[in-house]
Amino acid sequence: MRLSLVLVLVLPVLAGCASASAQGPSAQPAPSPSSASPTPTPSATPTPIAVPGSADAITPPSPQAPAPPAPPAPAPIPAPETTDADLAAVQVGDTIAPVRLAIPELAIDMPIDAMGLDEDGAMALPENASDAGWYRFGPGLRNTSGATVIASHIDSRHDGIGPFSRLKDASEGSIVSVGGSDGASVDYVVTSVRSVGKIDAPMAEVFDRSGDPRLTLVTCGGEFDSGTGHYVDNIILTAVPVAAASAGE
Amino acid sequence: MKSRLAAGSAAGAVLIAALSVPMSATAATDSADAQLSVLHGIPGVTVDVWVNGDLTLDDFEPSTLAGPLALPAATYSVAITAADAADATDQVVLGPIDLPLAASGNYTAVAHLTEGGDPAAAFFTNDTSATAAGEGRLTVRHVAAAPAVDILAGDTAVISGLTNPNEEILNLPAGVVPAAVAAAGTTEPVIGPADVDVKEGENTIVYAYGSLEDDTLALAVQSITGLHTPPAGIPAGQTGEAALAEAAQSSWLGLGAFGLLLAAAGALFVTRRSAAARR
Repeated sequence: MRLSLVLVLVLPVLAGCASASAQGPSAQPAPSPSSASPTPTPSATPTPIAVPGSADAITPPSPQAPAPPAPPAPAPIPAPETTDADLAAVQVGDTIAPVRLAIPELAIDMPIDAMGLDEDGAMALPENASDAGWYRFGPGLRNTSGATVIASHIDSRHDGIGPFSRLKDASEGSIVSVGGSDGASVDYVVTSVRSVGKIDAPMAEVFDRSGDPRLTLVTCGGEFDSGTGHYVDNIILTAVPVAAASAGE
Repeated sequence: MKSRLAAGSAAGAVLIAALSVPMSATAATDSADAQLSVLHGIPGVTVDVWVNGDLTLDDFEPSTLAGPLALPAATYSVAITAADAADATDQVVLGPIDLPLAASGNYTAVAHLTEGGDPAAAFFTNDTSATAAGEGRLTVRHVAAAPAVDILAGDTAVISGLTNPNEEILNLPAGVVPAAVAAAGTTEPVIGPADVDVKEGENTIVYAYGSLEDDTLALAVQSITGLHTPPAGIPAGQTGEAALAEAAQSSWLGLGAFGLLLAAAGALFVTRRSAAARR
């Protein structure tokens, strides 16, 4: 009990190497709702019916309503995509949780737990530096867009220095293999490893749910400020699915 | 009620609408465009939807969601006709109605039944404000031919006295809600219970539609994604031990290099001396 009290007290301090952006999350523009596909898979048959756009099909103005200001371009209107709105059809739980992380180059092979948020609204991590945490509110494996985020302590009070202390040494082109809850694994190739000062910690970018699918590994790095009790930098490794990487060459 | 519906379908059908813009692929990235979705919530009737006089949705089926379409801000005229209508003024079921779309607005037009069972169109503005990290938004809309209802989560009413055609919005921790719809003040479900997944960073919009009298009440769902707020940070270091180890390794490396330098200088010195001695 006393221990947990102490933990709660020190948490604000531990908010650590990536907490700077906490001061301004509201300043992050929310991604446009249109940027992500707003509905699950279209399970109903689309209705791509060609619109008869012939000019002589124009209808007389409706007698009861004054003609609304017509949009400037009377272009034919394409049929929108339609989807089945039935509850069962829409709400499919299709997220595949990452459960194992391996980076042979760095001799990293560790389990992954699904994590949410801590009391301060920061990403929660497993207590042990030997375990990694996956942000379960974001994309999982074989996602169609956005960043799958996995983070781990560089060092922990519970078990000392962790495997992610070697993250900064990863080489571009190295393979990162992530096992999924479905029993299959996905290979990624490292495209960048960077160190970012906490002032610039780009949380909205790290947790982006739009754009091409990618894997983002995060830990702390740089110097440890014993005064504040946290590291000054974030180490951010970005990798893309091997299939996408080879297709892009 | 039944006869009214039948008349509706005979006459044509129902409503709603959508529209368009020639460049739908890129339009979605234009933040100034409005987003319009159309939901068909009148059971048993297939319709055509006409926008500004053009056929936009052909043979639009109940419980189907169309869109979203990215549209320039403007007022659009929408008419709903029977599925075999020749044009927007033939066999009209609903409309024409004007839908005023503001720049960057997000809307859903719903063809539905009034509490009394008449076909009608409802025009909703969707809440696309950011959700807090870890939370999702649940919007419940009553567009059914039924009196006031309560929305139950488990045994508890989380929304009370919701009437057609109105909505209530709840921001909740993300997760599955066992939701049911019951007549206001009662706990006997007329719809559900059904598991509704209130996903993090999304506005999950649930429509109760159909007719109580005709036993066609059902739920339709629309999701608006991309409203999430990222975590405040990633506190991934606790002790500084890794930094210490790194620093120590650097110092040993430094000492090692210095030692090598000393050895090299020593060797040079010895070599020179022995060379000088030989002379």
